[in-house]
Amino acid sequence: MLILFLKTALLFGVLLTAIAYVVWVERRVLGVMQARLGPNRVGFGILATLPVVGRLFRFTKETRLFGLGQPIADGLKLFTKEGIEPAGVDPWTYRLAPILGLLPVFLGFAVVPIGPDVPVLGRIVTTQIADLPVGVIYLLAVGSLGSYSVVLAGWSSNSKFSFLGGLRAAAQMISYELPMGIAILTVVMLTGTLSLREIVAAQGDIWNLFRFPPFLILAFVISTICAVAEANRAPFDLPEAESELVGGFHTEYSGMKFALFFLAEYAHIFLGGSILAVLFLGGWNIPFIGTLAKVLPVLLNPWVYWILGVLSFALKVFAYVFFCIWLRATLPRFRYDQLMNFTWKVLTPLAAFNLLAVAVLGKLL
Amino acid sequence: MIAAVFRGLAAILEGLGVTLRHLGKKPVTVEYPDRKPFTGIRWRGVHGLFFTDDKETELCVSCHLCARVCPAACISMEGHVEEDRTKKLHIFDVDLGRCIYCGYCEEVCPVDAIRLTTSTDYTVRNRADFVLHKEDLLAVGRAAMERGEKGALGVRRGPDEETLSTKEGIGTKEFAARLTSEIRRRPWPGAGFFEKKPAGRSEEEPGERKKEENAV
Ligand code: SF4
Ligand code: SF4
Repeated sequence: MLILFLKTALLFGVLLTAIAYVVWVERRVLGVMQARLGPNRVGFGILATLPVVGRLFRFTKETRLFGLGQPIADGLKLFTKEGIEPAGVDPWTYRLAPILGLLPVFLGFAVVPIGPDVPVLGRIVTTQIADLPVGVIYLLAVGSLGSYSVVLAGWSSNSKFSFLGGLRAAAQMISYELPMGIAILTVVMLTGTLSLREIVAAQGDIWNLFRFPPFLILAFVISTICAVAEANRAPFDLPEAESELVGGFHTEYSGMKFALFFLAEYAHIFLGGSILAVLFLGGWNIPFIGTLAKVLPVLLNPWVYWILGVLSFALKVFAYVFFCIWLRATLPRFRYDQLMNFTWKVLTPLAAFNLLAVAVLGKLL
Repeated sequence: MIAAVFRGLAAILEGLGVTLRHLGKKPVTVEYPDRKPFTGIRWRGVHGLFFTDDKETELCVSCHLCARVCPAACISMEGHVEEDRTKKLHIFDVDLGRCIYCGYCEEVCPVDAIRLTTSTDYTVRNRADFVLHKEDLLAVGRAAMERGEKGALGVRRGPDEETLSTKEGIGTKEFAARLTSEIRRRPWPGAGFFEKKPAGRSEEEPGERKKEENAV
């Protein structure tokens, strides 16, 4: 029980920090990709007032550390902002929506295996909060709960912009779940299990991505597109399309309620990256670890192995996060009909045929 | 359909390549308060009141011309006649909050006392601080003189000035004459407009008239 509690607290802490800094990374990367700088001024001038450390590292009032203080400043700002509730909103739904947005995403992380097992004080501790036997289905179910938040936020705000954003989000998130589900089914069929832990364990030798080429690669591409769409990220950011809908479903939100939506969006990116990493990219498996361990046996020490495993997982997730940022810097927003045509006329049939092909191949080989 | 998909994919990949290549490039941003951007020698920045070359005597003769010409009405001044019958300035305020940096004041000044410098320090924390008083303007002018600036017009300061304006001769009488004659030779852009119009309305066809209107 205590271990479970500690693991949850640790995951929360790591995740929230990662989200805060990914926002900063996103702004810097977007900036450079657009030939500007991004936030680089908020620093740690306060470090200069520390008695010894300040002197030792030559911190001054101008210590900026590439703007690493920006997330802290942003967080403080959001905490201290007035939470405006416009007249005419449906109060309880309005307050519930942001919570409903963040909750399912964090719930989803409960089943994600982040690293290999480690022995702590004579016990084997898994780096996963709960190993559900139906982990994949749980993820899909919890993931689609997120659309409630957007719909409710759009509806309860009593604003046309929010309402349109909510409608779009509902259609988009439900549409994109379908090809995502079918593409994930391919993996489930291959490994024959719904438990994420076992799916990762089954990829020790070869990642799912490289089995039956090119079918699993196609499934991966489809899932990636759907994961981006489900997180409402550019180029699928129609629900919040700032150039047409002000802020979309969160137009009427401010202060901490807005921050919850913001957190949920970025947590969603992380969750999408985790799902892709677990299902296709071998989870925490480290490529060529068997061969490397022959030369460096220290790699098989449980703790070293654990650290390497977690790093490997984190790297895959961050690669996906970077990809999201990169996409946002590159692609313009879809038009609504293009969006719907793309999923119903291209992605869904493609995913279905892909599933069929893998099924046939799996039987034949 | 398939070809369209592949073309779309290629376009997306190309776009991704472009943004990725930018990661290695240097941003164009100039970090303003730390580094000053290069503004160009004829930048119309904060006003300065200039001195004679020995930096002793103020040039302004309190003629009120700049206050008169200013389209934003942001110069207010007061002067008086000294006992030796020179005119002396004792109040000279420029409200930078209203100024549009048109440079008319500099252009009209008969003694080139007020000039726009390359200083870009327009920012204040208090609205009242937008008003620069005589001492401030003199300080700006003195600093600009020490930097060797001649003001935004950069003319009438002797033939040895290698500024852009003197090279092109902008502001000289010859330049003005050349410009005027060139403009005179140019056909008036609206010239053929009335000639094209049909003389009588009754004869023309309705459809044609519509076309004509659209063209206009
Ligand atoms: S620059 Fe133009 S607006 Fe500004 S003080 Fe001179 S004349 Fe007035
Ligand atoms: S600055 Fe020039 S135009 Fe203005 S009052 Fe003084 S001499 Fe006249």
